[in-house]
Amino acid sequence: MRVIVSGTVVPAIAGTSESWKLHRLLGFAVEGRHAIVFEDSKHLLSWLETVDQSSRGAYLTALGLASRMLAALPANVATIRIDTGNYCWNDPLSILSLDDALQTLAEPLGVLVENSENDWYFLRGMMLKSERQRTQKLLDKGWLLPVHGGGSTLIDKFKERIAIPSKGLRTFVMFDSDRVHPDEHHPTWTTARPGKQPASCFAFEWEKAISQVMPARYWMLRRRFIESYMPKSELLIAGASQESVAALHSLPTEARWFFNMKAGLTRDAGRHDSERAKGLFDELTDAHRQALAQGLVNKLADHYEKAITSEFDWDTEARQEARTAIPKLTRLY
Amino acid sequence: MLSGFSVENYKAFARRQDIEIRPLTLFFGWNSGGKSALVRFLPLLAESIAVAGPPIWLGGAVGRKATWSELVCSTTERGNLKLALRWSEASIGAEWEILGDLEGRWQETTTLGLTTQGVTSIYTRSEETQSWPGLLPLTASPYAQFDGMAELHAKTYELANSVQWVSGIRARPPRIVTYGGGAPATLRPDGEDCVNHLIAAQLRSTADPLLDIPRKFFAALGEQLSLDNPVTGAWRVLLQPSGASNVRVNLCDTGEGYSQVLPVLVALARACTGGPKIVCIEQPELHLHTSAQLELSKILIDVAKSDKHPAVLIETHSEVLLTSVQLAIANGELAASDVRVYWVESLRNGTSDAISVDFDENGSPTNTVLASAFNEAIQLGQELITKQLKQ
Repeated sequence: MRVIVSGTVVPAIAGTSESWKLHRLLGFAVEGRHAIVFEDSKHLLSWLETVDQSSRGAYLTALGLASRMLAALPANVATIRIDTGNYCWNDPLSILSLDDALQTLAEPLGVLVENSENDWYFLRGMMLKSERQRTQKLLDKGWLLPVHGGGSTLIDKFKERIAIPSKGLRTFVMFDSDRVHPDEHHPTWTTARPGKQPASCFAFEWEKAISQVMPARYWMLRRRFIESYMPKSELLIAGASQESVAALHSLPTEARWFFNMKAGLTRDAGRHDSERAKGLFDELTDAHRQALAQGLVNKLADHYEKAITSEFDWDTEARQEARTAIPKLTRLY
Repeated sequence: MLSGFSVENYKAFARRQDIEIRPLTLFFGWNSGGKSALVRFLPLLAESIAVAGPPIWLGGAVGRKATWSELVCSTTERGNLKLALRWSEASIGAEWEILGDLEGRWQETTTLGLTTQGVTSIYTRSEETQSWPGLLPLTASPYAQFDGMAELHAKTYELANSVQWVSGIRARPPRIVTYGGGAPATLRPDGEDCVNHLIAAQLRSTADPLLDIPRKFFAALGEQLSLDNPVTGAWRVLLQPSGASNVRVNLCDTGEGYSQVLPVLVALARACTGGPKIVCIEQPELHLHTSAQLELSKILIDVAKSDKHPAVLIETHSEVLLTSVQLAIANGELAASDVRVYWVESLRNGTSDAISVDFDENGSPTNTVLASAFNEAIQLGQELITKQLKQ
């Protein structure tokens, strides 16, 4: 995170019994966890005169390195301004007391996903190599943690996290869209079905709740599931049959993105809201329909973890989606 | 002026890459990712057009006698190269598909998509090859009569004369340069003949504007650049420290940094004084200390603002250059729209993508891609101070 220390903070604490907090704060800069800048260097330098020489040198070097780090970061990088009033827990700019800031800065960034293995490895695989390397370093140091949402309980985990402001500010969420037709991404679509049981779509309610609290810190997939992104070549490696893969790729692109990769056409046809597919698969030949009846392969999403060392040949639209979504996460580092 | 180009299945770039040309276009990235391939693409095209041989001439200074299979992306196992050119002031753009034999026996333009006034026409070359041997059909062929073809001819031939390549391997200036008059339209890629342009300029006038940029660079570093003509036809390039009027050092006796930067300075000066306006430079900062990189960055920023509207494409690893450009934007000295950075990201499968980065008016990048650009140096520093604090 970017941390801006207002000019009133150091004079208020320097020379008091709480000056250890400045050491704690500068410690984040020394270890490279957060990039810290002081608005008023005069008071900082005066205080640094009172600390031991090795700490002083380390802190000054760390602040120099932090400036270099910050030059490469975008304006919307998550930022904490440490001040002595006007507090708020906003994103991208929070204004916090030194105590709240220290607590927040010590909080690992929680990446809340439905499944902390498959979904996490999907997200990791969608990253650029440079983003992946940065992310791995944060993981290794314990500064970033994939958080298991447990499928339908993801929203409960989300609510638990945001109940604690310092955790909430350090939360990013990724989830399937659960949409079964591209039209369901339209802003006016709802799960309401007049006179009938509402459509089943967890992500619809989740997005409403999450976007209200943190509009720039989540990624609802454009496609139905993480499996909907798996490249053709990987489907075959993961064990899908030639017939089912050929049938899937006989579909128009958007139909493919909303096909039930996990359970197939038969399961979707038996849903209480099966009309939602709106004829997306009507053009399939009988043979292709048969090949797609039961989904492609059991536990297909496991392939994201199994193929961790492979570079997937993502399609152009997947790459474009990732280029928009993943910077929302990396700006929180 | 050319405003952009695209390549697909070219070197490491399996997927289409759209490169927008700004007054300053910078390419950063790891080694062997494809930065050089992108910076060399326009020189390769210019060389091919000038030779008027096959669509892409691989026998020249840029082509380096590569085979077709070395030009196209080996990961895709496809033999077709796709490329596109776009011009800002013209309502014209063109996209080619060129097919080559992977064994290098032949290559041919298979299709040309020509866009004029927003309408794209696709021309497919017939089996008859005589009238369309290279990128464009011959002017006497029936193809040349199609709408926009004459303008495309003019634009591509103009391009051939507008590109200056300064390669990453540059020659040291000779101790004595013999000069019999004149200088070639473009510098040699290794810059060996750059002194000839300086001599030609000085013979025109000691106040010739071409001399301004090299003089300014060295003056900022406390050196005066001069051309000495001790014998008719023989010249030396000398540097004189500002504080020692009796000391004059031949440029070839200085460290490599100054001799390596001279072709860069001359190419930039020529771009502002009637020479090729698209300057493609590899590693302009070669052997330069960061203080000299800073002065070179100032020159590059000045050139980007020149009213001659040059376009400078640079492959670099210089953090000083990037930060200088960001600061110039933040100071209002350079418009954010005048700069485009590409981070060339190489993947584990051997392919690469050029990820674009723009800047806001405060010089901040608009995405996080550059966060990794100089991470190693910063991390090493952090590791060092952490270690020192623990001891």
